[in-house]
Amino acid sequence: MPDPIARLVDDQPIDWQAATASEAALLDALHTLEQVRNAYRRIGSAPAAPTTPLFQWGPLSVHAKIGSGASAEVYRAWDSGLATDVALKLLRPEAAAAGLRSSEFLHEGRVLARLSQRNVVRVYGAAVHDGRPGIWAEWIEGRTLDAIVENEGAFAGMEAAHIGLELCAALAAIHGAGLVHGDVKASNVLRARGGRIVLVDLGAAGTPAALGQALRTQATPSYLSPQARAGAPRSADDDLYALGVLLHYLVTARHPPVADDAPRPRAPELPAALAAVIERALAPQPAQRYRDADAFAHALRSALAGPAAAAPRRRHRRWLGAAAAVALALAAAAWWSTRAPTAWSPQASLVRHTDHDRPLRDGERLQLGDRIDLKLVSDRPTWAWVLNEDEAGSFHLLFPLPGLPQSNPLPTGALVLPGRQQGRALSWQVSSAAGREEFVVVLADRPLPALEQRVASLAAARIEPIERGVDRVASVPLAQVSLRGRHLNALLADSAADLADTHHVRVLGYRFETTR
Amino acid sequence: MSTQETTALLLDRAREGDAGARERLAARYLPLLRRWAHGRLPPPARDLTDTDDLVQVTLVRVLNQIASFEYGGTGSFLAYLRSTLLNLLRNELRRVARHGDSVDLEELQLTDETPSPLEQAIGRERLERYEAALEALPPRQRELVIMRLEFDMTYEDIANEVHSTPDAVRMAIKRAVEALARSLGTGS
Repeated sequence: MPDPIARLVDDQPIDWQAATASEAALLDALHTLEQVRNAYRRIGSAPAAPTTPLFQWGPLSVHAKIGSGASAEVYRAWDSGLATDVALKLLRPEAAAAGLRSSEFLHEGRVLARLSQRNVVRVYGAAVHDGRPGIWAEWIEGRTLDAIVENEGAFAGMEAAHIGLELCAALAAIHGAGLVHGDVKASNVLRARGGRIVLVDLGAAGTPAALGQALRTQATPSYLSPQARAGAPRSADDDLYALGVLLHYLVTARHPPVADDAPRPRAPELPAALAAVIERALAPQPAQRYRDADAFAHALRSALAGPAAAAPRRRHRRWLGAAAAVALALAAAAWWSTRAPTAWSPQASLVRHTDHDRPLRDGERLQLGDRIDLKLVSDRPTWAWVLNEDEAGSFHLLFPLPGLPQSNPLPTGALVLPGRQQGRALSWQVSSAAGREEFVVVLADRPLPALEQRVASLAAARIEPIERGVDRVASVPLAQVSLRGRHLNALLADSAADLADTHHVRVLGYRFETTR
Repeated sequence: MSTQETTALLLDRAREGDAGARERLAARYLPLLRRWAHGRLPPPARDLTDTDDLVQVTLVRVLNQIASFEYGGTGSFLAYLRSTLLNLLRNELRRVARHGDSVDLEELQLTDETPSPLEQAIGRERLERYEAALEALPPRQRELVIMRLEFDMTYEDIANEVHSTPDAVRMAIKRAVEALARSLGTGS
């Protein structure tokens, strides 16, 4: 395994996936040291690019709603004190009125905020502002385990066992604090960039007594133990049963059937020792299951140490690090947009100003004087940047510009850039035939500070929106276009960390050969 | 940071009454300490001006007593500043807790235990364990960890502070961080 201490000291991201399960206590300590360094670095640093929030909740600027449940809504927000994005879970007023009392919600939030374990999402605090109780927590870039299974199929047994070990550590910490998670399932576990496995959605967690009241109707049925299905009060044991269901799902891509007999997971090449571990976790009677998370972890470790441990692990489709080459990062963006149907999928196309119904295609000729627009449809508030460089290396920012009627973030729905001003429809007009023209369109559902900063430094190069000339438009993803523009490439390289965020960023590139 | 004038050299000159050296010391450490201090005060006490004032006061106080400060070599001036400032910040916290700004009732219960951003980011208990493990390190190792992890200094800058080479500093920091992590790990 790569030396995680050297990586921490050298300011390189730790590969948690490779480091998993070696020395848990040491890794936990390194996670703490990484948190210390990152916190010192962030706090007191320059604030994020100012954007208009949806609303303010106490110290948080709330920017986008990302989910909604029966009792709560989840938002992405900015915590200026911590200088970081956070996930904010706000209790619905009607849920508070229906019996999930604010004081309990807050108390549990504060207990959670005392928890600090690398596999448990870090809860920063709990408070009431404007009459709405909320809990805010670490914002994690990553993918849920169910999204990974849906897109890439079941996990190899050994990889699932490693994930199981990480989740046992998470549950040991939660149970050690006298809490029950209450909703352990594949969609509540993230594999973050760098491979860290994180149990999230602690807003559901609480003391067993409170959970019995609050969650009886909320938990996911396939993850419920027979006792919980029968209405018994929740206990730590139910979290361990749900972890068994989760592991079954990871190795088979199916939830176990709800039956009295423990289902034995069947999957090609699944080591018998691991199948037995999962089978015991799913035993109908609590006494037959693991007594606690440590015992579950011990069994997983034994399974890993057995002869099957030599079996190859599934080849990981790893997240690209910040230092990844731009081309690779953009290829990943293209891959994501085609492989993940549930991901954010804004529709963007360049069109003639006179024909908004037909996207411009590769090879089409534009005449001098033609005007083009960018059509955009997005179901989320969107930050857009349009950049252009010609063969002579003249580099221009086309959007956003101070004089334009629209600015970032753009509202949800359909719109056209550069937009209308004083009743007049603006557009980018073909005014020259200078040879090669390259366009890059970056779309994001969040601010991109690194790109923003680079773009701000281009202020001197800003131009009026009617001036730029283009001729031929190649409307293909940038991954398939090799950009030659020196400034564009430099800007993309400088912003690689921002642009590699495949959950939230789309990059489109266009190459034009302009002729008279 | 200048690679020409080490902290030791500036301290020697300041001790001899060189006002320019004192100014350069202040210019060197003020931004580092200001940024560092922001994570240490909870929001009610973290008015920007207050924090900056505290940092400046600390620095002036230390520089005024410069004649009595024994420079121990390896970055100990920065460590000394950090510990002086930490004490001042803790006093400030107690003062704020006693007087407290008025807030509405629902939020009042939060303020007496409102964590600093650093406590929030890491967890109070875990931060306390980090501080304890840091204190338990030999002074030289502690200072190296502080310079690298807390003050985000480059190997070159640290080497300049401690009269060493970047490579040697890197190896020493790696050993120090390993010792710290093991101490932190066994304390869990």
